[in-house]
Amino acid sequence: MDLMALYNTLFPMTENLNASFVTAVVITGLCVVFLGLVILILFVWAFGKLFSRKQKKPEAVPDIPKAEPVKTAKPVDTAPSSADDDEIIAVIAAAVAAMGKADGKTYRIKSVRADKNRSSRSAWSLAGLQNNTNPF
Amino acid sequence: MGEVFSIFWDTIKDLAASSGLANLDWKSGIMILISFVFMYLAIAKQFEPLLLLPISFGMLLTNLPEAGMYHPELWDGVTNINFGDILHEGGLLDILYLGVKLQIYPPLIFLGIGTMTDFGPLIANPKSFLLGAAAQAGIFLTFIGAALLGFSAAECGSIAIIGGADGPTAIFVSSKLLAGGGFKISTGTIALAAYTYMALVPVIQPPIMKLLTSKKERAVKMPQLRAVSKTEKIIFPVAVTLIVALLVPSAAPLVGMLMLGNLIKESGVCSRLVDTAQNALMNIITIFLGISVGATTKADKILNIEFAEVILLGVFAFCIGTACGVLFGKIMYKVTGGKVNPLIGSAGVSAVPMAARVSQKVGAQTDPTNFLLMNAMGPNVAGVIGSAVAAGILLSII
Repeated sequence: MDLMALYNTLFPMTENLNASFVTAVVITGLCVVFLGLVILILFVWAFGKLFSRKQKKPEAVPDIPKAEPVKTAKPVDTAPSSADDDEIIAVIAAAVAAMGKADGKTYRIKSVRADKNRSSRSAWSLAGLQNNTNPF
Repeated sequence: MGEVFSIFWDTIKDLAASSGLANLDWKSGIMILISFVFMYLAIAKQFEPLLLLPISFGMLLTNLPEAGMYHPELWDGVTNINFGDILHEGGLLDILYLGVKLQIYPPLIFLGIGTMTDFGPLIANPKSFLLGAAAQAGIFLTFIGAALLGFSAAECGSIAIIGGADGPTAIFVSSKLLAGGGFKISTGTIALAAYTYMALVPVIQPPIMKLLTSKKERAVKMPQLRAVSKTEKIIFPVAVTLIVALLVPSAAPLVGMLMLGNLIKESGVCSRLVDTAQNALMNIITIFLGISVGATTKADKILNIEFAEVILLGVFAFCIGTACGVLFGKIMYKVTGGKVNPLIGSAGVSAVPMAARVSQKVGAQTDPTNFLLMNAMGPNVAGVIGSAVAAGILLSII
């Protein structure tokens, strides 16, 4: 209480505003905001759990006799993977050459390897995201 | 001939004496110049143009001498509004101002915002609510600052709510708290400061965010959020309305309308209502709200030391709100073992979606492949609910 009196002396406020009232507003305000939003967290978390459990539950499958698997011919790769690699390497080489032309330097590609630490998003997805968020 | 000339001359003299130019005082002149500055900011710099442009034009109209579009004497110091006087003697802006004075426009704006808001990121990551709550500290800490500067309780509450970074909430609270008149500040002062700072979010927030976080913290990549079912999205607005309105009844008009708009959207069966609420209704209310708030910015209400103090306290509120959000984000970063990027904490100050965009931008500056936008939208929409709750608390206490 003495501390409050000192505070009031140091910072004289208007008649209806004293340090106790101001402190009460701040503490009450913060507590009620946090309390309200914590209740909402618990509610949203609980019904989130409920719905994710419902979604995970396997649906009851009617007892239907299994059909004989239809034998189909294995699809034939229309383009071998090495051809894909060649195409990708050609694209990379062209991009590096263009970069070198812009820089006025000559670059030599020693090897092309897949990045093991790459993002879970595809390159196209990343490019799209960057395109959409760059204007911010 | 001499008589005709005399009548002509007298008429010209009368016209000159009653013209706005003859009655223009220096204060009104300055306010007209300030309105030009705000028009420039809205048009050339695109600072919240949808609201800043009507506000600045309302400011111009109200400060034109002898135009009689707004009469402060009908409002100032009046506890019970005399609707008869306003309808008979008021100007166009007086009639439009009824929507502010009776707290009609802000909840309707919230209805429109609700139809445009996706609470999916918040439902997917409910912990975001904490960041939305932490950023509201700016409101309550500014209350102390305003009290120290000698403002009354009602004025302190009106100034503090600027920290909520939510224009309609600021107008709702200040028009209710400053209803009796006789105050040093007006709703127009609060609205002007709130919208100016909301427009300046991309300027104010980044330095604070960078100052309070390390490069390692800013580079944290957050996982993609889970998909939220339609049922969850439908239950959410109903549940939030129930919980918030039962806890803080004075927040019900804002939260209730926000959630009604959201329910209309998420139900998927009221496409016509959604279209009207997020386009026609929202635009009409925005024009009415902007122009009538601008009308309250009469020279004698703005050109004083109190307005300068409100501007100072407003920036203080914004900075504290941002800092508290980021600091709480840092706590979550520590608690979760580095899974939360503290930058999303600054989005808890509302200002949807600007604050979330700022989190995205600052994160991308550290690592261009880091996309925080959707993760920041959670605290951002939680901030809207949080500021509405904070508004309800201020109204209840004061």
